[in-house]
Order: sequence, then structure tokens, then C-alpha cells
Amino acid sequence: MFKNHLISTLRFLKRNKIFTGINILGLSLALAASFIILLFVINELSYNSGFKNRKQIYRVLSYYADHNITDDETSYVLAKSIKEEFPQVRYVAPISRLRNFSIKLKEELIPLNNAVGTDSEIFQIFDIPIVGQTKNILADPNSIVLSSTQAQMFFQGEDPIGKDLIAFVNDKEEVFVVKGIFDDMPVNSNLQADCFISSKWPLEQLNLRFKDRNAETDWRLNYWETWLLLDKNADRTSIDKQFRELEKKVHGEVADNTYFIQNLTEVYLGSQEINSGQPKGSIKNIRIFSSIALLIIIIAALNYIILSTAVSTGRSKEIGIRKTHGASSQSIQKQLLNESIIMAMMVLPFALFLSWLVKPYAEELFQTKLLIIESNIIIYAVAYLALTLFIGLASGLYTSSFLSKLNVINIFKNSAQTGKSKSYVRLTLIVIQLIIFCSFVSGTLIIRSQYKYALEKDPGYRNKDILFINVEKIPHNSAAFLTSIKTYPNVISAGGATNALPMLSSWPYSIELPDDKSKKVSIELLAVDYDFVETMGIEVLEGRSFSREFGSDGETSYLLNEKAVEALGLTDPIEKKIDVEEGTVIGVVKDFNLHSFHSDIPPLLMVASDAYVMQVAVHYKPGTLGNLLPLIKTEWEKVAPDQPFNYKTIEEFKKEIYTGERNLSVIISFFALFSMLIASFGLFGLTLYMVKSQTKEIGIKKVFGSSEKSIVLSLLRENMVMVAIATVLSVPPTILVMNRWLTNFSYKVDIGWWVFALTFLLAAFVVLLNVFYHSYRASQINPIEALRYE
Amino acid sequence: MIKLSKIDKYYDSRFQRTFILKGINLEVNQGDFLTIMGPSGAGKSTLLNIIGLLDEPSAGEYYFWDEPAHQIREKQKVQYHRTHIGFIFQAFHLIDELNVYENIETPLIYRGVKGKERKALVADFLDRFNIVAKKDLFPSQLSGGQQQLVAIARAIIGSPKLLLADEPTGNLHSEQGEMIMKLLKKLNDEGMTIIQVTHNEKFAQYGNRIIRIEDGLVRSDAMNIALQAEV
Repeated sequence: MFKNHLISTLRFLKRNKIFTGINILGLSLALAASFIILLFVINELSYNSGFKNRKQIYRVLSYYADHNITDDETSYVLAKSIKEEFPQVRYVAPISRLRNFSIKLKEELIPLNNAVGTDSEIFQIFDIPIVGQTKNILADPNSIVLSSTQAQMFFQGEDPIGKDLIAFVNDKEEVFVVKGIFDDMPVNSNLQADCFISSKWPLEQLNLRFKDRNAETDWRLNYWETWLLLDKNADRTSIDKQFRELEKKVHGEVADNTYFIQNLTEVYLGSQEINSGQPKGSIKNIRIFSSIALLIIIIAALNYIILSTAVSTGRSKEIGIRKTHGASSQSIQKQLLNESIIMAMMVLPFALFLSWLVKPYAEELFQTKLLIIESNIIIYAVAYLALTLFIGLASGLYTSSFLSKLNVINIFKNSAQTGKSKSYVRLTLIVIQLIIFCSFVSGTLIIRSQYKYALEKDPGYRNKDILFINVEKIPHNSAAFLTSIKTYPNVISAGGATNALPMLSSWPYSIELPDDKSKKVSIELLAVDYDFVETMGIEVLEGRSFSREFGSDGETSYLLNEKAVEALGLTDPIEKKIDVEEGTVIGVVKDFNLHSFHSDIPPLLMVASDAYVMQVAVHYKPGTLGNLLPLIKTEWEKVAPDQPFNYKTIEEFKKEIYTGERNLSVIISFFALFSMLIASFGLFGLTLYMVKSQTKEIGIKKVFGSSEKSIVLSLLRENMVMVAIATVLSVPPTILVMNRWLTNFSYKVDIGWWVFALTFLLAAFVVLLNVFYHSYRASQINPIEALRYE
Repeated sequence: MIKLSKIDKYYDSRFQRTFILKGINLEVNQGDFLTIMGPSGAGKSTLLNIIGLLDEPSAGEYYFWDEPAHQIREKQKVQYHRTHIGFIFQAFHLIDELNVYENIETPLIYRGVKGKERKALVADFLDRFNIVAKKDLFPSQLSGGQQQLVAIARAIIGSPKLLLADEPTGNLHSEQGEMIMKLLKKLNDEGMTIIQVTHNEKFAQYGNRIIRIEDGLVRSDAMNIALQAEV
């Protein structure tokens, strides 16, 4: 029976080329788009799934209540304490990544970016199989365990175990002995490593940096991730209790930071709020993109339904014949369902090819590598097949149940498909498609307008003609560099600070209230030099800015913003003494957006200090950037000849900050285009069939003197009504979703009515473009031919 | 074997009831070749559809193989279509996407006949109807008469007990019509019960009994005199 069905299906598709073509195009576009999204989603969800005992692996997080910050870095000594005092922890290891670790290969130093300093237990925690020594592999401080890629690079086919390597670590050469090899870490995991070495080396590095402290025992040198493996039936609440006791012991009765553990399965997607240098996924993005994929699939499925019910004229005869020859409704339904599934399956290879083709562009859009991860291949295959089957089922379900229930007599009388109610169903489906399209369009417009708003809104400081130069690499020469720049006539002023504005990181500080020393409030710090406030055009409301004329301005003179004055409860702030380092308030500046528009303006305390200058801001005369840049660059080369010259204009910097928003708007506008294409195919095909079935009606109208213009207009009017309804109906869901999205921002645009007006115009244009050709053709119908009987 | 008593078929519109059939009483016996005649709109096709279990009467009783058809469930009807009833139509109604062979094969598939047996049966019928050479052609490549031939082969390949023909010669030239009627006559002689609807007086004479319907009522019901004379 299946063969018989397959044959008639294939021949039917071959004969109805427009129907088939439109469906294949629509389905393959939709499938390709959702394949790409699915690839992204699967990769994100499979992060860290390469570790077998991931349910038992945890990392320790540290929460600072004063600033409401959670950090993934802890002290070295924490792991030791846990090992001694926590019986339910089977293994625990601190890890720290070394800055500047390189290995000599034929007189050349090859830098290893992921050199991990840790203890031997790391291999038990993550269950990393090693070739070579298996026990206490890192006990000897000069041991090194290489990844198989690195081993291949340094030993090219030789057996590396027991061989020596010369490494450059902590500014000196050291001899390391290769003790073992491990398979490369899965790319989608938080534990990335080129090699493992003893924790001695990062400790040494820290001790060099903080000369008066001992990194091995200091509870405040938080530069280590602490990973542990819990016993299978360990009780997590007992761990919390033990942490509380530990905190009391080391930090005193009122502990300012508390520890808790996070499971490995939550590390990637559940760390949005955690201060960490580790890669983070966003469950929000996964949701956004999955819903986009679903909407696209719905549009394509609707297309199929709309078209297949429209062309059912050709199909219903066959169904009638089959029924009179003993086919039951169920068998007809099965046949039609098979048909749509076959269609979807035929599209599968084409869609795969298409998604492979657009993958590089999608990578740019998503700002992430869309890797085809080997361990996920089965998941991809299953997911893709399931999705294809789903789209086949979704499209076929309505059509098959509708067509299989048609009455045989009606079919043979040729009246089964002209029923008014059916065409209403079709119109409804088209309206749904248009709603999705309109939502995409207005969503894009809203995101775009928020993006523009974020770039253009006055942040309370100079918004243009500012150049930021990164001087992190020349901490001792930044003052000299600044002085030399200021000599150029096109430079109005130049000043340095710890950060460029808007500030990306934050420097929170708990400050005592001047009136009540027992109470503390959280405030943010920004260290600037004498000229930064003036260069950035930050407005001073009261008192004065930092100035060289007052010799005392150093680390004990403070500028506050209005929010800080309020938070500290100061009424007449000037000359008031406040905490930090027994300083004096010398002025109050107007509130400005220290951070991006995502967050509120925090209470801010600015301190004058050349010691922390990391970024230099240059205020130049408008339009002079082009000839100024080479001059500044030569100055840079004078002070730092071997360092790269990193600079960006404030416009570029802001664009960088809001790339997420820009990318999202581009992504959604792409999918708007996709949905438009797919829906247009459907509308085009449908109008073709509609006009065909209305030939007689149009013929009669013409006989009774209807003009061609009025025929075209009447066809267009119907479509315009549809567009209007769809636009109106798209407003509430769009506003709902976009308002939620806008809560990401503390400063945001209002959703204006123009968004929807523009959407309506665009949708109307697209629809008219599709319908006009057919309408015009219909108006040219020769009534004699249209009305000829049979 | 077929018995209709007081069969009504009507449609209710808002203000009035329109009768298609009114109080039809009819009995058809095994081996009959019944011709239904009457002007357009008299209700001939509706009557045929009711007999063929495609349509349901609005009132009255209908016994199909002594079973009360007005109570038969949908599933049972499908079963009857598979085993008891064959249809042929004025417009032939072959499946355009299937070739001659596949069209003839279709009802066997629904009857659940196994592949090998199906092959043999279809080959046998192609041979009997002299259309072996055309088995790979599609309906659009055949003349009207040839299409109807295929349709008949398809209708009777499942060896139904009853063959219903709705104006089988309506779309054919007289010569082709003659051929089709002779074929039907032959099938009847072999024992097949046939009910046909026709406008053509001459072709009506192939049956052994003619009923005439007008405005939903049976006007006359007579044994075919010509045939009787022959006997």
C-alpha cells in the first residue's frame, strides 16, 4: 500500500510544480534556519557534558554580601581546609591559570595559553585518563602533564614520557619532566588546558606580585578556582553548615564573604550573575533563538497547510476514487500524512546543504563558533530528523484530517473545496503568518531604536571627539606619554583614569557613613588623574574639580556624584571628612552614566591618583582625528616601542559595548526576512490558485460591466484588510515580549506607535507586491473563455 | 438482496423542504441488470449513491444484502466497498497520477490482497480486457472508451457482487458506448448484478429491467419487453 501511495504522491508533486516548488523552498529555508539555531542550542546545552561524573563535580563560589557580588575565585588555602575538614569531599583541587608560560622548542619560545597550575587530584575530580604516571603525578614541582596536541607539537611522534622540557615561567627558565599525557579537553567545557603543572608556579607568581603576603596561606589572595568531587550520596546542606563554621574560623564572627558550591552542570548556563573570566552561556539567548526557530517552522508549516488545502481540488478526486474503492478515512489520512512527511524528508538534504552554506555567516551573527562537535553528532542527527519529522507531521496533520473527511459525493460534484468556511480557515492561517512576520519586524525596529538611543543619549559626559588609548602596558610611562600628547594644538585636553567611560567592570567599596560609623553603604570607586574630569566634560556642581594648584590633591581628596552625596546622607558635602583613607570631599559632580545604559547610575567616589591610569582619554578638536592619530602613534612608539598601540574612539567603544543589541537586531531582522520570504512564497502560490478558482466569478463580473480597475482593487482590498488585522494583532505580543527585553536596560526608549505604522507599511508593501501581479492577470481574463462551460 | 422501502431524500432549506427522492420502493435481485432512467435532476444519481452506500437516505429503510443499511456503521461500509460494490462513472474517475496497471491494482491493495496474487490478477484482467499493451500509460494518454474499460476492470477486479454504473457511456462516442454496454451485458451474463443510470434509450435496452424516475418518484417499473420477446 505504501508503494502505491508513494508513487501517486511523487507523481502528484511532479505535476504540481508550483505547489511543490514553493513548499520545498519554504520548508528548506525554514529547516535550514532552524538547523543552524539547533546547532547553536545543542552546543550550548551540551557544554560540560563530556565529564562522566559531572553530577558530583562542584566549584566553590564566594559571595560578598556588602557588594552583592559572587566571584568564582577563592584562595589557595581554601582547598587545603576543605580537604582536611570536609569528610564528604572526596577530592579537591585549586587551579590557577599561569600568565606567560612558554616552552622552548628548538630555541624558540612557544607560549601555552592554557597552562594550569594545580594539584594531582584534579585528574580524579574530572576523571581525566592519563598515559604515564597515574598517582600523585604533580607531586614533584617540576612535573608537567601535556595534552596530546601539545605532546605531538613538542615531541613529534617520540614517546614524551620521562623527557625534559625547558619552560619559561615567572621570568626564568626551568626544566620540567613530562610525567603524562591526557587527551585534549572537550572544546565545550570549562576546563581548558594545554598542560597541567604544579600549583607551586602560580603561587610563586603571586608571591612575586604581592611581596608582603604569603599566597599559600593568605585567605584574601583570591586567585584560585576551587574544584571538588563530592561523595555520591553527600548531603549538600551539611556542606553549607561546614562552610559557615569555616567562615567563622577564618573570617571571624561577622563573615563578609560566604562560600557555597555550584554543580558543574550549572557552571556554563547558570553563571550570568557571577564574576568570572570563564566562558558563559546565556539561557536567555537559547530561549530567544529557540522561539525564533519555532516561529519560522510554524510559518513554513502554515504555508504547507494553506497551499495543500488550496490545491486539494486536484487531490480530492483521487481521494474520492480511493474511497469508493474501499479506502477508509484512516488510510487516506495516513496517505496524506506520509505525503507531507515525504516532502519534508525530501527537503532534508537540501536544507542541510543550505545550512552548511550559511554557517559562516551565522557564526558572525551569533558571535560564536558554530562547531560541529564530534561527541554531539548523534544528538544532531536525532534532533534534525526529529525536527524534520515534526515539520512534516505539523504540516500534514490538518490537511490530512480535512481532506480525508471530505464527502465522496461532494468531491465528484466538484463542490467540496469552494465552501466559504474553508477559505476563512486559509485566511486565518495567512493572518497568523503575517502576525509572526509583523512581530519580527516591529521587534527589530524596537531593538534598533534602543540601540540608537543607547549610542546617542547624553550620558552626562562628552559623547564624541574623544579618543581612548589603552596604556595598561606602560604603567610607568603613562604620565610622560600624556604630557607629550598635550603639546599638540589639536588636542584640547587629555586625562587618564582606571577605565574608559562607560566603565565595563566595577570597583565596589563599602564605605562607612560619616554620621554613623557602624553602618556601611556600597559605593563605587574610580581613580582619575587631574585632567580626566575636564577632558570628559563631567559637570562639577559644587566645590571644585581636582587641580594641580592644590598640592594636597592626592589620594585624600574626593569628588562625589549626587547619588553618593545622597547615599552618604551628606547635606553640605564640601570639606566633609569621609572614610576610604581619611579624605576630604572637594566637590560634587552631576550624576553621569558611569556604566552602560543597562544599569543605573551608582553612588560614585572619584579619587585623584596617577598610579592607576590604565586608559587615557584625549579630547580633540572635531574633525582632526585623521591627522592627530599618526602623531599620537609616534609619541606612543617613543615610550613603548615594542607594545601595540591600542586605541578606539568613544563611538567605537560604545558600539562595542552594545554589540549584543546590534547583533540581536540583525539576527531578528534576518529572521524577519526569512519569514517574509517563506510567507510570500505561500501567498504567491495561494493567490495563483485563488484567482484560478475565481475565474468564473471574474468572468461574470466583467460581463456585467465591471472595470478591470475595480476587479484589481477588490482583490487588493481583501489583502489589505488581512494585513491591517495582522498588524493590530501583532501589537500586544510584541509589546509584551519587547518590554521584557527592555528590562535589560535602566535607560530605555518608549515603544512608539510609529514602529507599528512602519511595520504595517512594510507588510502591506510585501503583500501587495505578491498579489498585484495575479490580480492584474485576473482582471485581463476574457469572459468568453472564463464562462465557457466545461 | 437489495430492498428499498419508502426511501426519502430531501434537503431542508430555511423555508421549505426540497425532495430529491420521495417514497421509493425498489427490490433488486441477484443477477438483475437494472436500468434507471429519467430526466436531469430526477434523482437517478442520488438513488444510485444511496444504493452504493455513498449517500444516506433521509427517511425509509434500506436493506443491503438483507442488512439494514440505514444502521450500518462507517467501518462496515468501507468493508462493503472493498468486497461487495464496484463503481464506474460517467467521467471515468481514474487516478491521474497512476498508470493503467496501478489504477487497476488499487482496490486489491485495499482488500489486502498479497503482492504476488495481485500481480497475477491484474495481469489476468489486462489480458481479458485486451489492454496489456497499455498497462504503462497514464489516463490522459488514453481515449475515453479505453479509460472506461480500465475503470470497469478496476471496478470488477475485486469481484464485487454489485456493479453500479453512473452514466457509463455519457462521455463516449456511440461506438465506444456500444462496446462498453456489450461488456457490461457479458458481465451480467456471467452472474454480476448491475445497476446502471443512463439517458440513452438504446443502451437502456441492455438491461433486463427498466425503472423510470421523475421528480423523485418511480413512474414505471417494467421488465424489458425487448428482452422478454427475445426469450
